[in-house]
Order: sequence, then structure tokens, then C-alpha cells
Amino acid sequence: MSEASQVPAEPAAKPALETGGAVGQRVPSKRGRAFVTGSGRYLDDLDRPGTLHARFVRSPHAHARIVDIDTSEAEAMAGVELVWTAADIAPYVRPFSHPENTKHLGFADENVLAPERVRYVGDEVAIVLARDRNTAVEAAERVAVEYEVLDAVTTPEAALAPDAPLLHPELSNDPDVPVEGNRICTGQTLAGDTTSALELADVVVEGTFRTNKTNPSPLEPHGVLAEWDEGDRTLTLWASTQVPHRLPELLPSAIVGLEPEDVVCKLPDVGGGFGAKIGRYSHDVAASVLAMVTGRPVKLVLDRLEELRAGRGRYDETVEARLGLAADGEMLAFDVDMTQNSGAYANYARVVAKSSALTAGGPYLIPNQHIRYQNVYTNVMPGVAVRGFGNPQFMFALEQLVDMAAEELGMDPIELRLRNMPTKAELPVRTAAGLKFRDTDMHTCVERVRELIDWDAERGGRRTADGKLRGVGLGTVMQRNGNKSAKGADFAGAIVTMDRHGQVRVFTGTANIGTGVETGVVQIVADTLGVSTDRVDVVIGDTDVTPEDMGVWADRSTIFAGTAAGHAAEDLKATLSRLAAALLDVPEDDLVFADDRVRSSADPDVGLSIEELAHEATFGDQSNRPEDLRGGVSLVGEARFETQQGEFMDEETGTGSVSHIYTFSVLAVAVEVDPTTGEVEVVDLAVGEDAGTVINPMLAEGQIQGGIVQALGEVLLESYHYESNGALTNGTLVDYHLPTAADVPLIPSDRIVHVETPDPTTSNGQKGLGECATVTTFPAVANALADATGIRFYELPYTPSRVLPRLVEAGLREL
Amino acid sequence: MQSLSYARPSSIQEACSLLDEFSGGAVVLAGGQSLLPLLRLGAAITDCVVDVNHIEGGDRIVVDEDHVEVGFGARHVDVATDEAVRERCRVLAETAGHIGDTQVRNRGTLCGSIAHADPAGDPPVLATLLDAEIVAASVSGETTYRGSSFFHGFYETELDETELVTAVRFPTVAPPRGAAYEKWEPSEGAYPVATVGALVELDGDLVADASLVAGAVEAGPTPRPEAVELLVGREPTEATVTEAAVAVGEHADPIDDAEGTADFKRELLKTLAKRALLAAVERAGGPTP
Amino acid sequence: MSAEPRSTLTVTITVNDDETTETVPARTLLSEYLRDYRYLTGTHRGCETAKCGACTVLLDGDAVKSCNVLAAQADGHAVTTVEGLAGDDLSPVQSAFWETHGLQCGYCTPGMVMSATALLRANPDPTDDEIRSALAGNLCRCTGYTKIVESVHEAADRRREAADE
Repeated sequence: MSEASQVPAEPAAKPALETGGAVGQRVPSKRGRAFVTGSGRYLDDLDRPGTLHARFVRSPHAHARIVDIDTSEAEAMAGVELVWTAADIAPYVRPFSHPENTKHLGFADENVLAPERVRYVGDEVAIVLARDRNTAVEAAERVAVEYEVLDAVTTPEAALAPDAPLLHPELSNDPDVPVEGNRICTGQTLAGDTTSALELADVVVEGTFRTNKTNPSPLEPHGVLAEWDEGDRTLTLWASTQVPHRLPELLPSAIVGLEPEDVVCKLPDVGGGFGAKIGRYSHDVAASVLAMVTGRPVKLVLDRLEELRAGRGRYDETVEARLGLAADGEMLAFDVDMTQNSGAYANYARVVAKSSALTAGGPYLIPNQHIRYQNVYTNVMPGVAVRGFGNPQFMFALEQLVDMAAEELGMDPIELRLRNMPTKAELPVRTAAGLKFRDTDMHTCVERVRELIDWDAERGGRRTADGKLRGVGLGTVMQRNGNKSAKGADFAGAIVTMDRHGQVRVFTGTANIGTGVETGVVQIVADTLGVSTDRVDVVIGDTDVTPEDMGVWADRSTIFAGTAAGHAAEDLKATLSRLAAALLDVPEDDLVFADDRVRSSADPDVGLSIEELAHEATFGDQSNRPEDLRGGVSLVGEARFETQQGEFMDEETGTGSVSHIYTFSVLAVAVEVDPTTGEVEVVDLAVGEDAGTVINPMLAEGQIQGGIVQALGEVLLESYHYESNGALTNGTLVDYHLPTAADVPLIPSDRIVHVETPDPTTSNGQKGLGECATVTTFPAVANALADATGIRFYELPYTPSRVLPRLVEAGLREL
Repeated sequence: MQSLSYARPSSIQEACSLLDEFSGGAVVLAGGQSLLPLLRLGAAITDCVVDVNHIEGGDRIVVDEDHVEVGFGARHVDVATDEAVRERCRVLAETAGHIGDTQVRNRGTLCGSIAHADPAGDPPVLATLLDAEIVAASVSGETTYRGSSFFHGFYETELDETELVTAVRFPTVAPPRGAAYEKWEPSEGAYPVATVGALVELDGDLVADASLVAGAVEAGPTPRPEAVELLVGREPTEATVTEAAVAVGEHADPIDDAEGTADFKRELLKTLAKRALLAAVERAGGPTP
Repeated sequence: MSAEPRSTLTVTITVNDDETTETVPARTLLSEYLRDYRYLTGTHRGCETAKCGACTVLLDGDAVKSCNVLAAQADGHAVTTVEGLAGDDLSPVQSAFWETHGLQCGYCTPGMVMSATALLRANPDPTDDEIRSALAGNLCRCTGYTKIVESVHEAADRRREAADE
């Protein structure tokens, strides 16, 4: 027997997985070993021969006209390659903005370098290219910019005042775009008639709620490494991004002469994203252009000061809302005016408002909804689609109104909620806003949480033994999973290959920003093929080799990347089945793929190891194969999964079921308030979430724990402070307070309940997960704080500096 | 990080010569935990950093009946974990053990913190409270300053730019004296927004003497004699202590900023002052009110 | 070395038991030295104000923020980075963090692992509160810290088991 046809010995039997497959197992992160050994390769760890380092010169003023830029001193420095201003880069670039703004509103309001005026502290004015980072930083400090400082506005109220300085006067004066003064645009979600419904309601509760401006602060700053190949005219972009396949689509609109097919995006390890790494920024455009122009690789990495000044964060919003109910607790109308502090450039302003207005009614069946929103230019850092995508702000308002209504009605707040949420038996249901609620069990989630937090005993506020004020509160969300309307389609592709040794490789266009989706994808594929997860490797994001995926946002990845991978694995499995059936002389239907083997369900001894099967496919006697597999067995499976559930939004009414599905989640927290300092501490939590089949409970817990803590930072510790002239006073981590391990509660896994109602349309019944816990934290803490103190706090954050004065007023402050 | 020169003297004299030579253009590098961030931000500019970590004997901590002497190289973690310091000047060990975070405490020095005089720094408050002796060397010789008069506010002290703090001597504190330090920070390891140090000396059931120093709220450690007046000669009951604590807050002159309003800071001071006083009284051997 | 000020200097630093001598600008931070001169990129840069702890290494066994120490100060001293923890196998702290999922994006992980390693060497059986306090100088944005604390407990167990063997 020649070596080539020798069948390798079967490896020692691997232990059978509990449920027969990898899905549902607590499989550790596929990148974990690299991370704990320091072998992760993040953007700043990458280097290419001849790399130059770029550094922006940024505006110190919130609003100013650029009078003159003197780059001579910087240019004269040793090691400086060039210093460019808007005039230098103009031939290569075009103004850009989020496609929602260019397509639906008719304008692009951002320039990679400000040509005429700067509009917020941190706005990009010039760029230095130098041989190393230190030189670039020093040179940037020597660029002398002369400004004529203009009046600035930092709040929507100031920006909308009649005599307010205009940030984009050319847009304000353009009759073809909706910009009026500093109002970027307005929009709505409209269902029914809230005005009449409110008049007929037995109870109407209202309030004006204000959220705060925050920065999700991924620990790894934004960064990009661009390289231009003049030979095949390709721009390769290494980017710390959530959307590798989107960048080749987004960059060309900003760069003259560049087409999507000219761009390849590759993913390094990404150190967190949280929605801040979802778009195309000035640094992506600048690095690309400079690489194309100089022929040298160009690296641009922001530092933390730039991140806090210009990295973009969550929009602060004012939500004036009214909720009308019947005496029996039926919700009749939800009427809202939302004003968004959008910052200096439109970016995601409208997208976030539009998407979240649609689901602002939460999990409740409210027949009349009118959510009116306006986006407003101000001289502060622009916002972006931070985790939650506008939902925290709306749920912060709605869920507090629900509690207020419960009080007026004399109903238990949980009972009031359950009364207005559909039961599982009542589904599917289309809400007034057009959302299709399906395959979810909200009531069980709520009941489990009620038990876990000991709601009945805890609700009502009490004094603890050490004198703290204690209460419990609740928050819910119906979180959009994916959004077809936002991008025109919602899908992902995958390819699964097997080599001659039976090793499996998955090619998926998704990204890993820490969520662990690549590990979940591996599990789904391993589960489908009946192999160990160690046998499966995954290639992510590289647009040269992976099929298109819309990116990591809106909790869509496990649904889309996961299902595509699962279907691709099924596709491969079909080929393996046909071959195995022929080799084993067993009908295909009687084959079982498990434990790295394929065997007969009737007789386990009749079987082949995966290695043997792969070997046969490669070297085996072709006459043993079915006819159509002679002449080559292609061990490649492929699939694209596109939502058939997602719909386009009606632009007029802002309604329609844009998402593949919605994940319901409820969070209850217990807080204790220290009446001597005003400190609010979360001391207990309970989460109920229906994310369908949980692919990896350990990773799911991690996302929930992380999401809650990130939100606790926003609710209890963080807030941007701008002076009235737009100066940012707390732009370093010394005074922008991110939570440490000592500042937040531990969230044991047994406080997290997964109610798994499978989605029948996905590969394994999985839904999305990742944003819910962030969203629900905002209202849960708000309601718990009201329960503990009897005072309702309408404004974030709940720092002691804001809580203690209210305690003093209410006579609750103790010394 | 800005360009700079680095010098490594092997003796105090060499260090002082360098400071003298640069007269204002050199800074002392001991722990570097305050200095390096300032240099990186460009908030401090220097021609030369003078690294004093290689000078023998800098890391000494010497404790006797009356004093705890901390050398210029002793790290916060060393002061916090030294058994003799915990026994003889508990408030010093405790305070050192809560400065910043683990990594900061492993490098930062107590003397450096006192010389740096950050308005929100913890050691300056203690040095004021206990009227520590601050020993400084220069080419002209040695000067001993007193903590109660050392701090001028906003990083300014009695030191001129050619002087190097070589040691700080705190008095030991034992019954009938007791001292405590309370602070409030917005997140763990952040600079405190308000701090209070309290020192109480009892004579039987009455307060014979006391010192109250507020920190972080104004330009530097701010003694509050108006509050002390309300304690001296009286029994340290809950009511009396509360009255004094309220006075600490009422007399403060904070500013509104990102961390809170002036009112909020005053309220915090009241809370912290009461906690510090109660603890100080207990440690002085007083009855728990 | 004489006391003369110099803008570059020669430093001999032992990193992960490997001693080398380099000439560096005086301004060089230890974190820059490790990444740019020793090509050890596991030590990360996350902020400019020595707050985030992603750059934490052990300097003579003590957890320090390497961005807050000049390379010059480490001259003649020993540094351990995350790359120096594993022997033939991952250290107990490394394997515990991986298997208990005390990491997600991995960016804080090297610093977190170094701080945890130092903690367990000094305090082999810490409480939850001791862990949280000890790690307060290491920010994580992804995990919410619960699984990091669990990882440290798991590492403590594994260290004990290894010692018992």
C-alpha cells in the first residue's frame, strides 16, 4: 500500500459532549489563549515596513473660524514627512456623512480636515505624517493655527434660540435640505391618534427626562493602518472596527477615485467597540489618502485624550413624555417629544433617533404612539450609535412613567407591565408601530425576575440595618436584533471548509470586538458537523477571503453570522453524508455525526472517523463514491442567511418591523442610598432574558454582566462636562470616571435567567444578545432609586452631587 | 512624552547641586506617579528630571516612641504595611494604604506627595493635621519646615525650586490622642473630592485640644479652627461632634466644578468630618457617643 | 553612571529573565521600551494619564503601570511582562482567566493578569473585596469584572493544587 492511500489510524475516542453537541456549552474564547499570553495582535501592534505615523492637529476651540494655519515649523522638524491642511487634502477627498444623511437628508456635513471652521473641541484641522509617533505628536504641537473664536452653543436649548450662532450656515440656508437653523431634521414614529387617546385616558402621567452624554471608552482606542499597493491598485486597511465589510463601501464616498473593489479591510484583534467603532471616521479617510499619496503604509492611532474629545459617544437626550392609561391599567397612548443633543456633525444622529423611536414603546402593546424627535447641532463632540442605540434614553422615560402610572392606579408595577405585554400564547402580534413580536416569553422572564429579586418583600422602600435607604425597581426592553431598513438588507454569508485531515475552517465576515461571536460560530459549526470545537478554526472579517457580513451592531451577529455558518456547515455535511453513506453502505438518513465520527445510528461500530472520511474524500478510490462525487469531492459548504422577517420602515410614519426579531429582557435591581453622602449603590440584581437558544452561556453571561456594568458607569459615575463656551473640562480618565472593580456589584451567574424560546428561523434557535442589559439598567436603577427614596430623579447621572441635594430638600439627608 | 534630560545623583548633595544648577528647570523624580502624568500632558515642562531612587537610605522608615520618620524613597505601600507605623501612627498607615490604587502605591512616595502638594492629595492634609516636620536639603544646608505652615495652595509650598525633601517626621499618636482621616472619591482610586483629617486629644471626658483639616475642596489643606472651637473644653458627644462637623462644612469655600457644586462639597465635608471625629475620639480612648 | 544630565542613556533591563542593554532617549517610558525595543507588545497602551492599567507589568515583583515609570528607572532592575508568565504550560492565573472567561476583548487582560499574579503571590487566598480593591487600578470595559474576580479565585485554587502536588 502506498503512503498516499494509507488510512490514518482512528484517534482515541473523545469524551462525548453532554447534549451531543457544542451548542449550549461553556466553551472558552477561541482567542483566549492569545490574550492571556499577550499574543493578541491589536492595531497598534501591527507594523509594515516603512510605516509612517499620522497625528491630527485638533481644535482647542468649540466654535471658531480658521484664519490661518502655519505649518512651517512643524514641516521643518526632522522626521516629518508632510503637514497637510484642508487645502492640501482637498483634491483627494469629498465631504462625507452617514448614508442616512446623504441619502435621505441630502447632505454630507463632515470633512476629513476642517476647511473653514471648527465646530467642537477636538475637531480635526490639520494632519502630520512623521517617521514615528513621538515626532508626529511633537510636530502636531508646533502647527500654529490662528482662530477667530465664535460664540458656541452646547445645549439644544441654546442652539435653537433665535439668535443662536449657526454651526452649518450653508446647510441652514440651503432650501433643499431639512436643516433649519441648528435643527438638523425632525422625524417621528406615528401610530393611531395619541391626542384623542390621551383625552380619553383615565390616567395620564408625564415627565421630562434628561439623559447624559457619555463615552463608551473601549479600552483600545480607534486605530487604522492603511497601505496602498500601486501594482494592483488596492488599498488595504487594517482597522480596529466592528464593520470590516462596511468600510470598503463607506470609504469611497469620501475619497476621490476610490471604488469599493479597490479596498480590502483586514481585522486585527479589536479591543472593544460598543458602537463607537461602527462607522467611517476622519482617521480612516486621512490614513487611506495619505497612504495612497505617499505610497507608504500609514498608521494612525488615537490616544485616550483624543478618544474622550473626539471618539464619539452616546447622545444625551431630553425626552418629554406622556403615558395615558385606562383605569384597569391598559396602556392607551404614548406621546413623546425627544430632543437630541447631536453634537457638531450629524453622523448617527438621525439613525439612532429613528431606530429607537420605532421601539420606544418597549414590549407593551400601546395602540396609539406618537414619538416626535428632533436632532440638533451643538458645539460638542458628535454622537454615535453606542450600545443600546437610543433605547436607553427612551426606556429611561417610558419605564419611569409606567412606575408612576402604577402608583396612581394603585397597581403593582409588575402587574401593570404584565397586563400590557403579550403572553407567549398571544404571539405573533404586530404592534401599533408595526413591530412583529414573535417567539418570545416575556411573562416568564418577568416572573422569574420577580422571584429572584424578592420583589414583593422588597418593593416599597425600607431602611437597612446600617441606615441606608433601600428599594427595588425594574426596567424592560424589546431590543432590535438587526435592522434591514438601516442598510437595505440584513444578511451574512459563510463558507465552511474541511481539509484532508478533517480539520474545519469557517470563513465569516463578522468581527470580534470581545463578544466572542467567533467562538459561537465555531460552536455552531462544530455542533452541526458533530466534531469537537478544537477541530474548528475561524477566519473573521478579512474582506479578501470572507463573505460579506453587515457587521457587529444591533445584536445581530449570532443570528446572522451564526446562522450562515450553521447553514454552510449543513451544506458541507450534505456532501460528507453522501460520501459516508456510500462508503459505509448506510442510508443517509441513518447517519449520525457525533464525537468526531460519522456512524450508523443502528450500529455504532459501523462508522468512520472524520479524519478517515476526509482522507477518503481526498485519496479514496473514486469508484467507491456516488457517481457525481467521482472527479472531485469538494469539501466546501457555503450559505448566505438573509432575513425574511425584517421589513423596510415607512419613512412617513416611522413604523415597520425592521428587525429580524426582538429580544425581550427585564432587569430588576435593588439599590441602597447612603443618606450621609447621596451615594447610590446597586446591591442586588436579577436578569430575565429571552435570547432564544443560548449558544454559549458563559459568553452570554459575560455580555450581560459587562453590559450592566457599563450602564452603571453611565448612570452612576460618568458624564461629560462642557463649559458654556464648549471647553471640555473632564476630558481625561482622571476626571471622567469609568467604573473599577471596586465600584460595581458582582453579578453572579445565578442572578441571570435565560428563558430560551427558540427562533425557528435561525440555525439553532438563537436570537440576539448584548445590548439589552445595558438598556434596562437605566430605568431599573431610576425606578429602584424612586422606590428607595420616594423621590423621582428625572435627570442623569445619579452621582451623589445630584442625589444628596434632593435628599436634603426632602429632609432625608442624615449626618 | 516631552524630550527631557535625566540625571541620576548618588547622594543628596549631588541631587541638590543639580537642583541648584538648573534653578527651577529641574524636577525631582522619586515615585513619579504625580510627575510623569504631568510631563506627559505637557502640564509641567522640565529641562531635567533628577532621579533620587539611587541615593542610599532613601527608603528608610524609622519609628520610635515619638516619631515616624519616612525617608524620601519610602513608597506608600511600605508606609501602609509597616507594622510599627500601623501601631504608632495608625492614621498615617491607613491613609497611605488608600492613596490611588495598587500600582500607584507601589511606586509613589510619601515625601514626594508632600512636596508635590496636589490640592487633592492625602498626605498634605495629614502633614498639616499632625504638624509634621518636613526636612528639606539644598546646597545651602538643611531646613526643617512645619506641616501646619508648609502648604500655600495650588502646588506651592515653602520649598523653593532648589530644595529636596529628604524626610518627613510625623508625631506618633496614642491615647489620649487619636487621629483619623476620611475622604470621598467619585470612583475607586480617583482623586478625592473632599477629605477631612481629625486629631483629638482628650483630658478625661473632655476634649483638651483638637485639629480639623479639610482637604481637596480648596487650594490646599485648610485648617478649620472655627470647628475646633466648638469642641475644646466640651464632651465629645454625638451632638457636639455633629456641631463641629457642620462647622467644617459651613466654613468651607469650595467651587462648583465637574465633581459637584460648592454646596454638595460642603455637605460632603460635614459627613466626612463627623466620621473622622468619631473615629478620632474612639482612638483617643474616648467613650463612643 | 555619573550624575550628569543626559538626553539619552544606556539601560540594562532584565525582562522575563532576559537581560539586554540598549541606548534609549531619556524620555522613554518603560511601556514604550517594552513594546518598541523588546518587541513585547502584550503590554498595552490605553490612556495617557496612568489610569487604565492596561500597561501593568511587574517591576521587581511589584505591579506597576509601565507607562508611569521611565525606562531609565528600570535600569538594573527586573521586569516581568505577560509574555514571561507561561513556562511549558500557562500559569494558573493565565489558564484560569481563559477558562473562567475573565476576558472578552483581551485588551485589559495582560495588565489584569499581571496584577492578579502579583496579588496572589502576596495574598494566596484573597476575598472578593480584596480582589476588587487590588485590581481597582486595572480598568475593564467588557466583562463587568465578575468573571475576573471568579478567575482570580479559580487561579488561587489552581495555585494551591499545584503547590500540593
